[in-house]
Amino acid sequence: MMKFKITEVVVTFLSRLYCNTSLIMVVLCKANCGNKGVLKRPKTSDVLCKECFFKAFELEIHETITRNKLFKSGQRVAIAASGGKDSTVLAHVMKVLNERYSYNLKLILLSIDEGITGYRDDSLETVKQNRDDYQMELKILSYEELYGWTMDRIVEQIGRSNNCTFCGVFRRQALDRGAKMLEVDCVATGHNADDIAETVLMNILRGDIARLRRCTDICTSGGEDSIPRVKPLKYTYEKEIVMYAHFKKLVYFSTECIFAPNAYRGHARAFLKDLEKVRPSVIMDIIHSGEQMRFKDTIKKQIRGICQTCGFVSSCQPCKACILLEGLNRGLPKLGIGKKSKGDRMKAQQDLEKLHRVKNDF
Amino acid sequence: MCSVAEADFGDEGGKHTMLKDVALNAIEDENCKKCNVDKCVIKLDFKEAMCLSCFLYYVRHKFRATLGSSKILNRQSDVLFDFKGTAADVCLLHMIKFAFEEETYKRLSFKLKLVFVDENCTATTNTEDALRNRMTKIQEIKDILQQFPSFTCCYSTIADKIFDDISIISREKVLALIESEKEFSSVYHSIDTLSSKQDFMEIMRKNALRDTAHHLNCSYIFLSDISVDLAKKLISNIALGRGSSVSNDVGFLDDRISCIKIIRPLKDLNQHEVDSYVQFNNLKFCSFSNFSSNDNVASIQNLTSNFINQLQKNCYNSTVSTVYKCSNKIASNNETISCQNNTINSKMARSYITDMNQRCLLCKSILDYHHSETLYAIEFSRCVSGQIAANIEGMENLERIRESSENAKNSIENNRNKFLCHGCRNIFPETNQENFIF
Repeated sequence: MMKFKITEVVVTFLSRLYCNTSLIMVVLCKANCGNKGVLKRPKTSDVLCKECFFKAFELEIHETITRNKLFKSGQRVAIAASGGKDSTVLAHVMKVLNERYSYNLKLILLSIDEGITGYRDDSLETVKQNRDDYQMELKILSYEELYGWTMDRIVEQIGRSNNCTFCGVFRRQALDRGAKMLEVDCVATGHNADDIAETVLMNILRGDIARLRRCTDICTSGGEDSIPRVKPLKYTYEKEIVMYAHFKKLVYFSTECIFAPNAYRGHARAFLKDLEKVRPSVIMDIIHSGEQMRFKDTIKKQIRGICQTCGFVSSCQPCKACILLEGLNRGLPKLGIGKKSKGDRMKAQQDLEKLHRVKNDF
Repeated sequence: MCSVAEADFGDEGGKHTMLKDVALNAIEDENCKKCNVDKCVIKLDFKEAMCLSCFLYYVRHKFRATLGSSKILNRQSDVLFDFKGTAADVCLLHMIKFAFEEETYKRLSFKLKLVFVDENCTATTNTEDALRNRMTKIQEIKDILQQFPSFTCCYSTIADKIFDDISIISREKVLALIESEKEFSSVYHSIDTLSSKQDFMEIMRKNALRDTAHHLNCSYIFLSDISVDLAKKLISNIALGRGSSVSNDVGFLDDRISCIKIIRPLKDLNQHEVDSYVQFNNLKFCSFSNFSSNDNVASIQNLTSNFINQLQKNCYNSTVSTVYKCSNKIASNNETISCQNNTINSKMARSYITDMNQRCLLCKSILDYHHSETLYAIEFSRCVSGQIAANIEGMENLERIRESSENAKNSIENNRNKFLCHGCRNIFPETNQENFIF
């Protein structure tokens, strides 16, 4: 069954796109192919016809892949697929480029089922559609089987605040677990230029230097014990991804997560959209700035290690996923939120209460 | 992959680290906890309520500690102070005056000269209006300076090299200046966006300050930027593509040019402290009416300012301190330019130094385009759009696009862009201002 839900945002965007299209009907494609231009590229303001846009879009991603040596011939690559526009376009383009330029990659779709009723169950149907369309293997891992908790139940415990922290931390590790299970050489994610610029701003706003250092890297965590993650869409604007998906008539799921609206990231996103209206190149400018910044040697660097409890990549002991899971299992969902000392006090208090509890023998 | 849920980071971001709902700074009728002598008059965030003398001591100590711990300012140095007449300027000047009058062992020992850099040259094209605005502003600055009779102030403009005492600036002199500033004004008006105009003026202001400092033999320049200014500047400079020079733009020290160091001694003070200091000392100040700020029009700088103000005001009142502390951790990736033969203000010397050190002609920061993959990606997109033609196939075409992208990134065929950093290239994307830049 095809699932294609159009949110208000997408409708507004597409109506603008058509509006622009009607305005530029008389302009010829900049590539001198002789065709009429049908869209204006947000990154460069160039007017292109549909065919030239497809080719330019795909060639740019090919260039990003080859110039940054993201893959090696013969590798097994997992594509992190949520069913959204980014991962759908990534899966489509990866399949096209793999065949066109003979990358010789084995592509596999990897999805995480967080257990969000009315959101993820629908989007997974889209991923299954992609599996059939692109003839790729699909592996779905659920929070339920990995952690014994679904996001619906976690939200019941924690409420609508900080719920995205659980989801983000668990998904990050679930991707690692899935990649290990599928024995892939790397995981490709659908982060686009807008996501990365937004993350640079977010990390400054919360003073997270460790993440600010690495959030613009196109390839992360390529150590001995970890599977690298790559972002082939790093230089691709979100608007172009939507245009590509729209003109190619790709099936994707575009409803925002029902638990996400209050996330702090929303402020950074709205700010970035405002900046983009004033200067469209701001997205690339922010990524460029993020790459150029250097940090003082006195700032403590995070050392990537392995969690001694679960054995997955972590920069702290135990890893955040284990702390959050312990909190849920202990009935102290706030355990991993905020300061570690606060969490330690909560644990000590609970242990003390247990010790003094009167035992009934009957 | 859901774009909302960034894989590496929780969607909540720093929500849990952001302090919410801090109780209002109500002052109870009680004695100061510190001295237990006087009644409390002020309650600062995260601090006990204080009496007036403890507050003044605390704020002055902050200023002196920032300056002293850096050990950058040498004794008996000549320091130029960029005086605009704002509350922060008046606060800093009052603190310096106080420090000059302290007992010998506490006394600050440097020589202070003030400069008022007039930016009004681009505000209006009508000469009469321009003259009236500028004379009013000069009078306003003179009135404020009457509170500090021991300091002399020099008058300079952003467009011209003039270093006269502000007290002797006449209508005729200003009129002559307005006439001579037409070239600068036309360059300014040829810039098409407000973001670029504001960025341009910021850079030219710093250059004018360096020129004045050089003329007055000052090796240091004081700016009165406080934490909220620096937080806003950090984010807006990142959005302007100035990541490589951001540590100099928002840090305590800007030593791009080693013989004229720019220092921000008020960086640890917040708006509340400055406003209270000025209020308790009954100091007169003016608002800095930067004609180009034009708050009602959207620009990167104005949007950033509103964004930070809104976050700070609404629910995340640690925003400014978090962002500005972040700026303390950014390192400079520049080696400083040494002043050779003290000719920093001559155009020839600028080109020479730039050639030697691969510096931007306008902002003097290191050229940042050589190894940037992002700038290559932008140029690649531009070249692809022009050369992709759906009917042309083959690797030969791709190789050609790659070559032209690399050339465009390094500005092989563009003599102007070759000498500008990415941020400064953004100021002049279309206009040809070679004569002005060179």
